Amino acid sequence: MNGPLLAASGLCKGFTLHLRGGLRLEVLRDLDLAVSAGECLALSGPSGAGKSTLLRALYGNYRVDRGRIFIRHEGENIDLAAASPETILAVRRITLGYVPQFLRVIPRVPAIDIVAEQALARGAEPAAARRSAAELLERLNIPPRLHALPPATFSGGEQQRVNLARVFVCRWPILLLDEPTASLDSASRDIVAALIGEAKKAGSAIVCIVHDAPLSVAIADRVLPLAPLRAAA
Amino acid sequence: MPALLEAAGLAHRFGAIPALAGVSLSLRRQEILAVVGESGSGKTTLLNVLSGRLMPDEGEVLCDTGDGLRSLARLGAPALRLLQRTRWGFIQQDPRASLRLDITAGGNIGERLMATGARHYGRIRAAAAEWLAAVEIDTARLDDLPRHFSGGMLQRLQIAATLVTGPELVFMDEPTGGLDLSVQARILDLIRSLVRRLGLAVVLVTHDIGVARLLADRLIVMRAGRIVETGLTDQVLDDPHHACTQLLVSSVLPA
Repeated sequence: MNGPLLAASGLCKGFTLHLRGGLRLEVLRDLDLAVSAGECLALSGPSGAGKSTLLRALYGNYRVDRGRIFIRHEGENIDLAAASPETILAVRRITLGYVPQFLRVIPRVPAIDIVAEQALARGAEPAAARRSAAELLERLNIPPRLHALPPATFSGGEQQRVNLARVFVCRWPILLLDEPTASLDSASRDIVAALIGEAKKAGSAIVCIVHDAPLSVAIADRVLPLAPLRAAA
Repeated sequence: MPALLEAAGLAHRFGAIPALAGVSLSLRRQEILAVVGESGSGKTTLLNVLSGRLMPDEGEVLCDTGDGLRSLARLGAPALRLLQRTRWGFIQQDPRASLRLDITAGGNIGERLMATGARHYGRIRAAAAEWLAAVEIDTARLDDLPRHFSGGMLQRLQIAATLVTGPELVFMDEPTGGLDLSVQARILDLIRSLVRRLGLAVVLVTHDIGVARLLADRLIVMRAGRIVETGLTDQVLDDPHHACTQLLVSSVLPA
């Protein structure tokens, strides 16, 4: 079956700030997109344009006000915007990977266990999960002496690479990446670009927020520019 | 998948105060549901009603007792007690309230096994040692009295004594409430790994939304006895819709 793995239509999302007198912020209006297997859509635009809001909506983290989000999950099309919590969790376990901008983890859990977790959740054998976690961390230039440490004390760039490793340790039909190279040097950026390229080759559909022009050139097949909404006249 | 626990139209008053009003919910197997809200919002009353320790003025709690969903109210006291002792577990904020401090750590764990019919001393002792190790207490402490244990160790012991009978549903009321932060993190990590390994369903009452984020699949926000918002934990905490949830989320002190 061809056609997009991820397709959104008519997405609208705003926020009502009850603690600010019910102030209403509109962020997305009638947004459409579609991404096929092996394709990478880059989201660009200035801060405040709604790129992260869109990515979170596609992950089912922000609840959209209107619109549909079709996800190909185990051969079926599921509207994530209308799915039950149980279905959303199943989609996130198997189909939909998401790398947020910042690493958020349980205090005191070693980096290697954080990275191995997803593989374990999919039923990998513990030793094998730790082995692939270690290999990926090393590929991302996190040396073995850091693997047993919790990442709280890591540098920003190291934390971001742990954040990427915990998702790239498994294969995902759809990947959502929020500025994956924001705090990385150019050597690390090239490694991340290579990982994304491999995921595309393996058939993943990818949506990626990119500020970094060289990364965009390296991975993006198409660019969707977003601009901040003006208040409706 | 059929629900493990279901509640419909729960209402309960303490005098003039509505502690619960129009609360309905459903819990699946292996699902972790957190109930959050400010003090006095009805969280603990809800937990007590769901676990059959308090009969509500109105509404009904249904649970899976092995042969389909049955009403707690119509189960009868002996069957309810058996359910609470075997298929269910309770972890309270204060472990001293559920443990016996004048019998050994091993005795506390073994007692619940014996209450469910275990009689073989060697096997009970082996299970107690195994569970002590599972909650990361040195098995050399098996014959020590818990009155000499620290707060974190007591909470671990309560967890062991609860899980030893292999319950499928555990009710937790502020399980890390009285503990200092460093102990809290380790107990949370322990609860998280045990819950996953054993495939437990959990109803967790907490005022700490960090705890809820860490442990829960789904979240219920309560205010004045009502559910004001519900959804996946990350949805409710990252994109709170109700004024009350927005206040809860924005009141957290960053570390």
